[in-house]
Amino acid sequence: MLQIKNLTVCYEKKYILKDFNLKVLPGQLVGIIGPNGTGKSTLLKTISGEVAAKTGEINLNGIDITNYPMCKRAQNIAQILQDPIAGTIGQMTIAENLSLGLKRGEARYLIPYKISKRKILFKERLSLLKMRLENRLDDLVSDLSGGQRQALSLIIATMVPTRLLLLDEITSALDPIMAKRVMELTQTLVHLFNCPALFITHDLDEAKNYADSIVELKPTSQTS
Amino acid sequence: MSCLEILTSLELGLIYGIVATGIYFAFQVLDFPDLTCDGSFMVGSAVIVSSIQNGISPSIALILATCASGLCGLTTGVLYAYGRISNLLSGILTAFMLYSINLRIMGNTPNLSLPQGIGIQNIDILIIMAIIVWSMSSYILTTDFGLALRSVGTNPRLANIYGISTNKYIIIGLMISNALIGMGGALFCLQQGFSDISQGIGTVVVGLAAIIIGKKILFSKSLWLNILSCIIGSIVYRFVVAIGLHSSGIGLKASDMNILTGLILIALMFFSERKLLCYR
Repeated sequence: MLQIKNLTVCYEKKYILKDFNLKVLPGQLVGIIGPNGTGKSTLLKTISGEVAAKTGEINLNGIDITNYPMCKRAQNIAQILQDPIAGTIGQMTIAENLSLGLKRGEARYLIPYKISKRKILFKERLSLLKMRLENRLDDLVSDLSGGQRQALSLIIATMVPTRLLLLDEITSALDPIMAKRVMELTQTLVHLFNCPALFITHDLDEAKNYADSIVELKPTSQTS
Repeated sequence: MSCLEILTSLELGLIYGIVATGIYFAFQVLDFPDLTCDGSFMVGSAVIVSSIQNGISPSIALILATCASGLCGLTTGVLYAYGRISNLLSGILTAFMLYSINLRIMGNTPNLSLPQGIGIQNIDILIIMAIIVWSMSSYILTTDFGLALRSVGTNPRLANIYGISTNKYIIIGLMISNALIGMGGALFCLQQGFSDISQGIGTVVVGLAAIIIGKKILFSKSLWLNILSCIIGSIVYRFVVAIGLHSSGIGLKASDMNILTGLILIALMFFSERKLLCYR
């Protein structure tokens, strides 16, 4: 369960989030909507540890993670970025990207990543996408389309079980068919891992179709 | 070109191939323009000559020189990661300070000779060293650790999201890079028979030239071939320079080495750009 209590975040003396509270239960997919500049992405960045909270508490499964560094939070938090190019590494192959996800939050040793055991797992996961990527493990990710890269980033992020899933406008760069497929896969993964999930969207219909509940953020004009 | 000149070019090519592999780690893998190279190359040379003069065996001295140069990478990495100094400036600062440190290591003399009879007597040892460096570097990059190192260079934000501490990996990567460069410096000292305070000048340019030439000859998706291309590029570069300097018709002198290197690099980059434009 994710519980956020009185979270306040400031950028250069301007409040982005002020006394924000939220509770998300395991298996619950919460849609975050609101106009630009209301702190939607900042909320996700604060939960993942990329941005520091000024005050408040972020509690995940009973553990206060507010002061955890980003690399420690990565053990429990899977995050997918809005831009599929930023969310994958184009210069690496599909198998290499998946290997990175497979070790999310873990220590990385001098063990070769090209092992057959992993290939079986990778093919199994990629087959969920129904994009025939399972036969292209040694292809560079830069050879894939934006939609394929975004779908792949979802698989990379969830290679290992996660306790929280954060999705930042993951369908904004996709065509409607691909967006539907990615959102359906997201729902499947949330139920599979029985983890809380937050997804930002500007599409109210998408939020209504896929979210269990919707949170609307409003501008905070105060300064600290 | 005489047989001796060919052999010398091959020896220098192998030594600078190790240096180019080190530079590959910083510039290509980490995407970190590390200008510590000129200083750490000299640290390798200064430490090995001083150690041997103090009675330490050449093999132990080589290990000491490699470790000392690795510490130069640590300094640059810490300045960048925790001192919040830009990557270029942190390298420049370390290299600048290393000038004084190298003079101290060498007992405040600008050059020191190795005792007679000590040095690289035949090329076999250099071939073995180059093979060891090539295989170990390639192996490192094809492990989970190496994958994390590469992700830090290509997409640091994503690396953080995957739980990779970018600061830690940059420091380790720079240590590996500078250790290899210092090893090259130490081998260069053994090959030349002396250490001179100006030996490190231009290391980064020569290393980059080797990487670029290597990529032209042996561009591949394979990391093993990419590292090998650094060594092959270095050997080719040395032969090109040797041919330029030893062709009586061209009339070049040893002092023209820098302009020749610069022109080779400019020509390679110019033609690469043309090629890219053609693809567009």
